[in-house]
Amino acid sequence: MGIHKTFRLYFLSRYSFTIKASIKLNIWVSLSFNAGGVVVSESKNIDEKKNMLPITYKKISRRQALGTAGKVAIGAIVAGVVGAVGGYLVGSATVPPAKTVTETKTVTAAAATVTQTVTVTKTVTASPTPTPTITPPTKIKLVMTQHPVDPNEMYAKMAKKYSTEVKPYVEVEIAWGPTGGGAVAEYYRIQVEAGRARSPTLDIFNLDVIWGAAFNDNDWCLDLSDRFPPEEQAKFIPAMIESWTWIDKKGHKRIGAVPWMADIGGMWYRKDIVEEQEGIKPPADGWTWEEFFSICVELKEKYPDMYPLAIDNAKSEQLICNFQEFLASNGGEWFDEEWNVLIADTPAVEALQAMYDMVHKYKICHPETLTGDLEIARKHFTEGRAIFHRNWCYVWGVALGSPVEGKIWETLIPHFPGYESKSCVGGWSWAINPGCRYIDEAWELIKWFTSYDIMKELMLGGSWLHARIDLYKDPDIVKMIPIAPAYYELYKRGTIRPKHPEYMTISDFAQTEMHAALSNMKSVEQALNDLARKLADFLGTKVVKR
Amino acid sequence: MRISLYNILLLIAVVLIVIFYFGPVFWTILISLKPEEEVYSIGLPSKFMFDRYYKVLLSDRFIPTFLNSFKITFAATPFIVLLASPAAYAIARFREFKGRTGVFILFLVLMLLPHVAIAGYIYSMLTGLGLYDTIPGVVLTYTGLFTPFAIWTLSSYFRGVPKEIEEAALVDGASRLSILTRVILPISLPGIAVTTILCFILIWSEFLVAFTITLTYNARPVTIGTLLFVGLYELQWSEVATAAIIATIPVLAIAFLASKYIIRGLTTAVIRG
Amino acid sequence: MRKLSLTLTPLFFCLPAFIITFFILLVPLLNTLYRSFLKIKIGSTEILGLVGLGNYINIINDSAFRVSFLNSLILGFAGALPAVLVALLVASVCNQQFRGNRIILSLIVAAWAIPPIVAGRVWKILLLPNGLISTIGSYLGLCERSYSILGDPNFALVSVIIASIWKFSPFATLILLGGMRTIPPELYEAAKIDGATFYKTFRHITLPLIARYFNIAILFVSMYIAATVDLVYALTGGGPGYATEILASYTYKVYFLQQDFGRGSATSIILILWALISMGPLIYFISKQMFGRE
Repeated sequence: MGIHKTFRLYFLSRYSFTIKASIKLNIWVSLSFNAGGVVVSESKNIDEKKNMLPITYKKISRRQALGTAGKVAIGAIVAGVVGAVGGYLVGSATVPPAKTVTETKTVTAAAATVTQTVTVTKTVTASPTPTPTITPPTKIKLVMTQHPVDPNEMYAKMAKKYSTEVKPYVEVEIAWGPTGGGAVAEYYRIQVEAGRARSPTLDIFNLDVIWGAAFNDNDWCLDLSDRFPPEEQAKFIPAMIESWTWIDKKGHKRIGAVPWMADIGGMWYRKDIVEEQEGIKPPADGWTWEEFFSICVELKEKYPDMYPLAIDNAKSEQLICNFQEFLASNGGEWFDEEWNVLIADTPAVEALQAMYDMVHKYKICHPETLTGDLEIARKHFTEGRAIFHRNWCYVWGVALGSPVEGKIWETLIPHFPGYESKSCVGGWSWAINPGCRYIDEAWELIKWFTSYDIMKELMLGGSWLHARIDLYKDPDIVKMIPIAPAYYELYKRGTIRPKHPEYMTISDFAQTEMHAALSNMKSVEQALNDLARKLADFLGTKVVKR
Repeated sequence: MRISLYNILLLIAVVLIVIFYFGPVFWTILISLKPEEEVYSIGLPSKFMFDRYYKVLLSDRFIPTFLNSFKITFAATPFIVLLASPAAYAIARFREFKGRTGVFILFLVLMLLPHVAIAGYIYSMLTGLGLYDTIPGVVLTYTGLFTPFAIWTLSSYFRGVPKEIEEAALVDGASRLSILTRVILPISLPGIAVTTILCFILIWSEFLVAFTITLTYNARPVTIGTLLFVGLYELQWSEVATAAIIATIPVLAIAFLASKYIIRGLTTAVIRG
Repeated sequence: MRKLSLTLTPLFFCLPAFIITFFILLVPLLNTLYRSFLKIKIGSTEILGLVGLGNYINIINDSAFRVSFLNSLILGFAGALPAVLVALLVASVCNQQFRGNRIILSLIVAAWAIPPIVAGRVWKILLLPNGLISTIGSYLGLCERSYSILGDPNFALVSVIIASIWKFSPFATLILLGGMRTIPPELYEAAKIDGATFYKTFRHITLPLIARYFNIAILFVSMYIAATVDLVYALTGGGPGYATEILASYTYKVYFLQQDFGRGSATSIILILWALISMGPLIYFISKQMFGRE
């Protein structure tokens, strides 16, 4: 029984008198003040009847009046219902026109100050009758959603390049969809329905990896397995491919999207402190967690004004990413093949216990680890107050122009003995609307965008990191981004979060329970047992301990 | 000034009140003037970045939301008053309106519904109608959400109009509708002004429903606009604080200028019921 | 026009308001009720069937829901009532004659005007370890400088209560202050001539005359506290674990973050029922005030 529960009972028992008293006070206050108000301000009281206007009646019989009133009322209600239902049905055939937003960003050299100009133009909704075959002179338009941030406006440039140089009859427009939370699934489902109704306004979706299962299972993205063979798939980051691979209800294996922007977690560290001053060299396959924690404890004593580890364990999706790394590096799984729940099993308990020890037993984390957010942790690192830092790839870019520029490097996430180091994979991929009218053209566009040369050009132009593994061994890329080989090592060891269509709910359950365990509200076993039971109830499966 | 216990207590109370209520506001202003790295530190800013206000005002991320807020609020508020006035009059003055109490309670209850409970279905409804992420959709939603509040406020004002004037008009052969437009509305203009101001403030600071039913700069109001200051990777909280201060200024201005009327308005609303 | 049956005119007068509130408030309400009995998959494509009370049972079994319900009760009593009492104090202070009267009022309204999202975030910044409040606490010897106020479930809830009082009491202050201003000053002068102390004046003159405003103030503050999601989320995100979830934020979580429309609708209905029940007595009193004896 956690402290929180005890406090609740204590609070209730101790303060039940206060609670009851407040309820009584509330009612008493209202009653007495009402009485007092009536008594004292009677002179101000407005006599209801006297204040009303005289009634002027027309002489009609009561039955007539009731009849007319009833008919009018029924008519109004029926009209209202019909109007509402009709409006809804009619309205669902029309789809909000896609808004075009071209976002341009200019990154000034040293500081990370960004100015953004947004131009919003309305797209012209295409004609509802589709032309099945495209002969080059006919102009078509493809609309693709994009991540809302476009560094150095590289994507806009590339889209224009496609229209002008590669295929002049295709106009590419970039739209802006919801990126997270909110009603992402509902938004894209409506686009898919519009596609099925032959008037889509969005052809290509740009989606986070966590949507892989949901979109594949509900057939909200086109099956690309005939266009995207396994040999080609192998050239992309394996974990991203895995999150978009799915076995659908007919038992057929399908791939729903092509990986586009890549992001992966790693252990950043201060090279100058760890390697040069202390002489500790990170091993080629990463430390074990025990070794890592003991190093941190040592460094904590030697550098008392620095935090050994800046890692964000606040209640958010980041927590699940952290946990995924601990779990996978212990050989653990969330679910088995039939979606029975394994989260209460030993590997997971050990993983969460290690996280708990990290925060409470060894006390090596920064103080805001449970209540702050990722940027607080990142600020500790890039302003020189932390030695180790678990974060995504963007830290390199942010560190340019900060006090730690040139002093940081990235290594593998630690692992449990006997298992491999694993890094949680994020990133975004292109999927095609199944109702898209120009599927071949859309595929050509995606293929062009995700080709090696175009991705390389984008990266050299200062855009995000992209999903082809070989890019990170390319000499030009390595020259511009010296840390690329470290990324390569991490990409080889990617792991993904649970691939289930209802991942949003699973994640929310897990965040709540795990954060409760890390905040000392429950024991680790209790939290994972509760979580396992919740998940099993939700999914309709059982809790299994192997 | 006598040094009495009363004065000392008053002074302590005033100081505490100022610290408590204005403290976080003051801190927001402070954050908006700090360099981004110092947002979380507790000292005074090392340099005062007043130019950030210019930057935010001129940034293309903020102005569209500001304009949207103006459009939405100035469109919704007249609608609300227009729809609420007849209903409030009917509740206030029609003695023969047998269902008066029931309707009043109905509107009172509707006013108290938590927005979060119905925002979800409103999203589906607007999407089905094609009004998602459009200003008309937002205006329609806000009209529906705040009309009961306006009815409640207005009905109290209408009951304050001396009934002799209305009786005289009735005797002269005016219809109820023309009584409303030619007699009641002009007399209770202060009350209508107060209702308008209150609705303005409520709509301007509304966040949750706006977040659910809008997506892009087409219709996003300024409360959400404050959160759109994403740097390359993270939210720039100093710019968010600046935007928040700027977004609050219209509300503050109206509240300050009209505070006399607002207080009088809320008073009358209660006195009569 | 006079010949038209006047029993219909009130209905016509109310009709536009009826239509719009029917459309925006009643239809979603009924549909939410309907949806709460269904099991809906993500994206609301397939309605997997009527599960009757299954969603409700699922919700009630969730410990996070139970805690959020409890927190809503606590917030209602430990939040709404103190908010109005604080507002009473503030209003009586503002009612005194001294320079800078109106400025104080503007400062208080400023607290109300800041968008709750930003306000919650600023409070969070103040409450972080090594933030302002824990530093002050360390000077007073209450805690260490790097103590995590928001990391402790109980203190996090207290922080939410205090932030809610801070945010919503200005409205109550305005109401009560207006009430105080309607009291004729002759009463006070008469009391002063009779030699009454401040306390006696307050208790016997001020309080009874602002009786009816108390109801409205409590009503509105309860409504705002019950419905506010953004303040809680910006401040704690639901708190350590689920320690600071309230019914409204829990509803938002299930409906929009988990994107489960079936269970979310069930939670919405429970939230609406709770709001109605907790404000029911006040509604009754208010309508009695309005329409005399009934």
